[in-house]
Amino acid sequence: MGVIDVAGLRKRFGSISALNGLDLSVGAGEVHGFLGPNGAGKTTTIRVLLGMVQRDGGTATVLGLDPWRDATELHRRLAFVPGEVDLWGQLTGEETLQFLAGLRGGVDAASQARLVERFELDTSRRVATYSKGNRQKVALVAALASGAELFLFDEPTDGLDPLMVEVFREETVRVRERGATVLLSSHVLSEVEEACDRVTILREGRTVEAGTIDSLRHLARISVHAETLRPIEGLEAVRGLSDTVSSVTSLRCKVEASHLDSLLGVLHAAGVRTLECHPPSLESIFLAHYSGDQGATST
Amino acid sequence: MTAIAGAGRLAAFSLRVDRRRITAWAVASGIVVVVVGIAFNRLYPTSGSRESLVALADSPVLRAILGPLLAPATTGGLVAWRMGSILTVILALATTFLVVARTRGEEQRGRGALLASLPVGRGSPVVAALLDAAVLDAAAGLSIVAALLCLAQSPTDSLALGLGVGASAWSFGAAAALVAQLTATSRAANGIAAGIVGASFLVRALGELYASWVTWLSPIGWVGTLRAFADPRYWLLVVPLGIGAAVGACAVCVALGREQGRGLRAERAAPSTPLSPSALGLAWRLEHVAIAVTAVAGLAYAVLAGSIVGLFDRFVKSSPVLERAIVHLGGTHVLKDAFTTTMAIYGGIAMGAFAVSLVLRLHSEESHGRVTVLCAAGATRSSVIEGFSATALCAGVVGTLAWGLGLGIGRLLVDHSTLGLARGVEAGIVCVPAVVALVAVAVAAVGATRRAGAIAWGVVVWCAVASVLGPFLGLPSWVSDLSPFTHVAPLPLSGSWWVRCTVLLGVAAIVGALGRSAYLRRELGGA
Repeated sequence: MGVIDVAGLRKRFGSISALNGLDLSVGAGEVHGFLGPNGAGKTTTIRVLLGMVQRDGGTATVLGLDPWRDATELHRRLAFVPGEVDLWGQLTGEETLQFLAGLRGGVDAASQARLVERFELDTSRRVATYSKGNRQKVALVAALASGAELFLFDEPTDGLDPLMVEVFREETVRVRERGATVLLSSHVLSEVEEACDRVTILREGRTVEAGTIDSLRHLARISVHAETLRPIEGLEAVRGLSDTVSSVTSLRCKVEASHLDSLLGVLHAAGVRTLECHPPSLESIFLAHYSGDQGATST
Repeated sequence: MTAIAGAGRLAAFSLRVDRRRITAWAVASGIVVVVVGIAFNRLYPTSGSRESLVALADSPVLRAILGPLLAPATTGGLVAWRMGSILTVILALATTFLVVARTRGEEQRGRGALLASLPVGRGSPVVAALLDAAVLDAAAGLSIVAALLCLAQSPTDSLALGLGVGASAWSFGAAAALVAQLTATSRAANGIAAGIVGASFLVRALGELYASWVTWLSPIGWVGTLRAFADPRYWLLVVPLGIGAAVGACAVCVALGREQGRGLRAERAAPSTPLSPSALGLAWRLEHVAIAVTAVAGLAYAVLAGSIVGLFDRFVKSSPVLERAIVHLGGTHVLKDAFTTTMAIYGGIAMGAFAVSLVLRLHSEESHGRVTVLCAAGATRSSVIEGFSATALCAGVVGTLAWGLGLGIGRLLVDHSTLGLARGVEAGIVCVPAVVALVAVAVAAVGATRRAGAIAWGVVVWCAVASVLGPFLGLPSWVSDLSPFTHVAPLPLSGSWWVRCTVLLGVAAIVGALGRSAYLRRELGGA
């Protein structure tokens, strides 16, 4: 059993359908990326996992518990960082961290101090004077210092500068190294690509793709740019080509991973002078799903 | 107990957040009691002069507003009579706003999600808010006790009054906690919970004039039933505390089954309605429902308040002494007009407070960076302050006129004479300039400073204190004259009433214009 097991999750808000049979499984010790355009249902899913809203259909277990029924028990074992952190303006950063830690029943003070240092957070100031990024840091420090088994991050780096995003990534690696599991919802695809073992991509409240980033790459097309010594012949026989722009001795195209070998055979026969071959980025996988063509067929 | 796990820590935290607010209410309650007590000692030093108050207190107007005078011989008894209900109303409102801010307010602001992700039970925020409220009411109650002890009053009786006021106010907090579970916004919760306080006031008034059992339906009436300074019945504290705890338990139960951030009604796809592309159009779109609801609710309350005068004849006839005194004064219609004027001013202050909250909306638009959005989209700064001020003004004027109309309808229903209707409408009309002046002061505050909230609400409280207590406290006239409601012409209107109205409107126009020009000059705050 995984840390998060969700199958066929449904949720309606009045007449608005937020989740339409979402599947999500996250294994222990994994950093799992959770991707989708605005309004796809990422935050609603996380709220179901936190037991803040009740599911209308499907199953969901988190750390082997029912998130709605066992919310309090569950919250002792997880930590959450929302994308928009609103805090009490009249408190200082220090007081806020103390309070959040107190509700948790205490956290490791040394680890919290280390994180405050790493995120360069001035905790002596009142929260009212904090920028969005600084409020975000307070929530991140409180969560990362908690020693939780599971971390739910809902666009956690929103408002952080690139240096701090890097600190966040390193800290994510650190919690994974001690065996914790992370669900990371994000728009920043490079961040997910670097940090995550597996990803789940959703669209309109459904899972459209799930797997390791490498396995998803196999589903998408590889871009190839080649120039040859002799005219390219037999290109018609290669299947799975698209966006082809070719002249006599040059070729620009995209090819499905399973047909790359036959394309390379054709190019080799013509004598390769230069060859660029780009595996699909997460971004191109992502865009492929949302531009409609592939996303519509795979649901 | 996982349902309310962490409630204690949450309550301690709430106290930290609200400590200034709680201290301020407690200190203010004590000061008011001391000031009123000293005023009684000065104005009614002898037992003979205090007996003369008994006849005054028996007039239906004062019976309805203040309740019975049980113990005229002691200063504490006079304070309990004069201040018991008023302090309860004020503390009930303070408690209400506190409870709503710590429950629905947190959820609405998105901090609730962060709190809810921590190991705290779903019922904990409600329990913590009610503990927080209990500290507020206990502090205020004990401050009242301390004030009475300073006035050398009997400790046991002082305790009965202080605890009675605190316990009753706390029961309103429990009601507010329940309301906050059911409404989707803290604003609606505050409105409805404040409406419950207002209804309790009217029910108590009805109980005084109609039948004493009705008094038991009102938490404000419960304070009187404790009979502080007239052989107090402590055990009746069970009523507010027990009912409050029961209502609070209901609120916890609702919270346990409720999704975070949700109210009673499900979200729906909102119909798209055209919105005039201007700051005024936006302000109107944001507030028009609240304005309509407040005006209709005000009308309904005023009908009830106005119809209370119907009980005056009956009440006066029940006492031959009172009847002779009233005839000497000019008959019950004098009383009815006096009551109508008083009620119109109370309603005017309530509607003025609502309008002030709408002016302050501009302030929160600014602190959330939305004014910047408006200005970046092409709205001028002057159109922003004008648009929001005009909407607030409309709310105040419409609400006050509706209130006056309601008073008139209430009198019409019981008197069957159109004179009563006309008197109510007149009372509403002459209150309008005072409401406009209050709005203008709020506009000036928003225009002058980014910390407008404290100033504007301070002025509203000042108006309430000056109108409710000013003449009695013997404040220097220039002090109570600072409240625009002091200048509302009394019924029946005669001679120069329109001069007063014109002067008030003129002053309001100048103050508002100064606020506008200050707003155009100052720096904008942002998120």
